[in-house]
Amino acid sequence: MPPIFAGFALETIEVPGARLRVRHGGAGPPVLLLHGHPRTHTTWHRVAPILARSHTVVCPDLPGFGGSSQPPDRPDHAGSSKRAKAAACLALMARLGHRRFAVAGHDRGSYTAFRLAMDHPGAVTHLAVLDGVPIIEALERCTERFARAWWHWFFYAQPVRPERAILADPDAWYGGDPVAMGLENHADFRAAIHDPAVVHGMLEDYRAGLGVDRAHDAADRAAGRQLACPLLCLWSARDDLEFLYGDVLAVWRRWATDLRGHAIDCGHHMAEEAPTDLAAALLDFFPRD
Amino acid sequence: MFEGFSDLSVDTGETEIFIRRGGEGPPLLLLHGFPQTHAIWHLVAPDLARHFTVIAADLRGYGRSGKPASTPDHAAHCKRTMARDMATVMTRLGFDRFAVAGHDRGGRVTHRLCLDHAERVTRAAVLDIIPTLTWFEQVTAKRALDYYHWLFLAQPFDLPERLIGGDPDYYMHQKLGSWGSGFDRFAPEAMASYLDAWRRPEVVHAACEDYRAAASIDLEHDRADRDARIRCPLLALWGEKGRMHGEFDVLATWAEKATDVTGRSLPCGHYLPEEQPKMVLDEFMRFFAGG
Repeated sequence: MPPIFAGFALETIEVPGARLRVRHGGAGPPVLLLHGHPRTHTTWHRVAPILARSHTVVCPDLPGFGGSSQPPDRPDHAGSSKRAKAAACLALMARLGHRRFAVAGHDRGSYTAFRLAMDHPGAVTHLAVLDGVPIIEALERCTERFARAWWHWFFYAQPVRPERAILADPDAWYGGDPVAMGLENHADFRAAIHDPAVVHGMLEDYRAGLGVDRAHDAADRAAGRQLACPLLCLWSARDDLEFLYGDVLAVWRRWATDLRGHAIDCGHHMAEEAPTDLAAALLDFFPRD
Repeated sequence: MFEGFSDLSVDTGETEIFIRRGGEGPPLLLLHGFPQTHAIWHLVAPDLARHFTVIAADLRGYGRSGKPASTPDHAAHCKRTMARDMATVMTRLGFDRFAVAGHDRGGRVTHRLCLDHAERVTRAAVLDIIPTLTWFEQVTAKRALDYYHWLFLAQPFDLPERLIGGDPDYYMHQKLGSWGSGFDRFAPEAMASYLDAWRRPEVVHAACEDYRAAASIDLEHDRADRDARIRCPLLALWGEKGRMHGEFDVLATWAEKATDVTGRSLPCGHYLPEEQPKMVLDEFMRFFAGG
């Protein structure tokens, strides 16, 4: 079996405030791919090679995740804010020579992708959000249904306890099927979930979500700010976005004037479960040379 | 603890309920909550026993009571079943009518006792709870965060059991330390009672089943009883440093469920009988004894 990410470079790149492990390769217009929880960049291993035939593909581990550095702990969790992570990703792309680029983010990565497009409209040409709505829109729809389905948001946001509980048996908590994920991807994921610092960093991402990230969304919405670039919204048909929000695109409408999207027939880990469909949807949306 | 009280295990036909019994006078049943045992009453029970026959019970699954097998529909740990346990205990002890006070989970059992066995309950007190259905129907992100354990413990077997079971002492310390006025508030003998129970996997499982029932079958029962009212006088007490105070109009939530509601907050956290035993005693004497 050939190694994953054949032909890609694997580097660690220092940017202000973070040290990012990043895989990059291919040629053409640049695209930044941001993974979700509890994954690392290797979740893209089936999608990135397809995109790399026509695009320069950059897949970092988000700050706090995988092999990237841990943000500083602060009482307000601002170190793990999506604003801070977006700034780190912007600096990373600049270091790789990309001033303008497209972004796709899945799950937690979708919040950083969204924040990157909101905070740096001059840099992001296209935004693809996979399995996400803005955090504030999710939290404002916290009904019994939401609380039951996404109870982990509230569990993770508790201080200290979830680290203790999860680290007692990370495999029991996070699961992960090596065959479905791919062996190397699974090994990378497994190294992450067994690293106490990474587990803490991932939980901080959620803690920031309920506080500082929500506040940033609220400030944008109060000011009437919207995305300046086109938005592609994709969601997993067998995940729960439709169950929670009904018309997913309707949730996004106040944030984007150029909006499109559809469901993909798969479960939550879209990049692992439906890489061909996902790559086709992204290639259809992203700019071509 | 419980000097002068006798220990007794009552066979209800479905399970064994452990009680401590003391004193003379009209019967007063005391029910504890999560993750505790009857020992929460140790500071108020001796004084109450000068006026009442005090029955401090462990709920099924908790403490030294029986650990009936759980059922897929969680009916073995629903509040209706737990209330039936207590009604049977009081029958076995020869008390047709009785007063009841319940803290936390015990308060939910008290609520169910008042509906399912209305003819037997003379007066009832609920400590530091709002009705289960009210919480689920009025949840917000803030409330889901404050009460995350409701959602966590209700997850399917055996995820919470495994996560808690890996370090049960830690979980107990966190719960008792963060919801009240600090861990030091608890008497060593009471803490020993809680930890002895909590270190047993079957107790952790039963507690999870209690919450699974609350998120499923208890809500079905509560929805069916949406128009039912507690007919006996109801006293609601809650802690000013707790999560409900400021977030809910506690008396108003009970006024929707009962016809005769009084109550107030006390200057403490969640663990009223251990944090403010004198005030709880005074409130109980005023409410249950009329003086």
